[in-house]
Amino acid sequence: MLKLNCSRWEQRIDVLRDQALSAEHPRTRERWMALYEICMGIVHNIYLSRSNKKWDAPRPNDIDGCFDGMGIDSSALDPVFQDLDEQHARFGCELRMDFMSAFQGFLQKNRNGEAIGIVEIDLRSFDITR
Amino acid sequence: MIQNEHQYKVTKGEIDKLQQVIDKLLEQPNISPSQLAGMQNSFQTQIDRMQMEIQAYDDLKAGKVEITMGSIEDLPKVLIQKRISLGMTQKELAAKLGIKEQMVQRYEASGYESIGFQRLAEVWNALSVSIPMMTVS
Repeated sequence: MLKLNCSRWEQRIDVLRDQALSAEHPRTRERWMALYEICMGIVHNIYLSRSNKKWDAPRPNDIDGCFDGMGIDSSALDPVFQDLDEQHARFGCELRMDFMSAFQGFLQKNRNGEAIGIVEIDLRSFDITR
Repeated sequence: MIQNEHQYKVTKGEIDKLQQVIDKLLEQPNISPSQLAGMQNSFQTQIDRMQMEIQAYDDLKAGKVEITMGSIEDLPKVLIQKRISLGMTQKELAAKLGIKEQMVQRYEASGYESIGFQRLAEVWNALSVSIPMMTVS
């Protein structure tokens, strides 16, 4: 699993917003916005994987992900993160509320049950005060 | 889309695991209703999707699915559906083509994106796929 140290790259939450507003491709902008919006909630880590469970598109270009549903202030979370269909419509990706790291494990296997890598992003490393 | 018996078994196993997670979740005290609903919905949605894939695979094997092709992009899916509906394994298709089973697995996993036209025609014929004569405009 890769761990991104955002502070090392001098990333900040406003960079997420800037990317959401300025990225060249519309779907890229939507994904940055998803990260920005979830970062505004009180979520510490998210885990992202290429959507390998959905074969129907020969070149899957969407993202599956999850974040720990325990210990978060769900009242501060945009309701869209409790609605997978709405997320897919708005962002082209799905970020699910996880429990006991079950989805983390699920995302780390492909359809054949073989291990695959996912990306962990520590949202606390984004400086939301700047 | 489930493509073979191994993926079928893996998918069933994943459904069982996620169902157990829901059972444990429901036993947890002190979780707010919205948190509980959010997490339960996450797992149940995934379970529902995988159960639909299981059903689709069962239906294909039972010959209950009318295989249709609306555009050329549907071709990879059609070839896989046709093989499954014939009750033909990837290994059996590979034997017909004179290639290794792993090659068929790779073709199908990638949506046949790297196959050459000659080999594609061989797959087409091996699966006895046919479409009515059509006028091209």
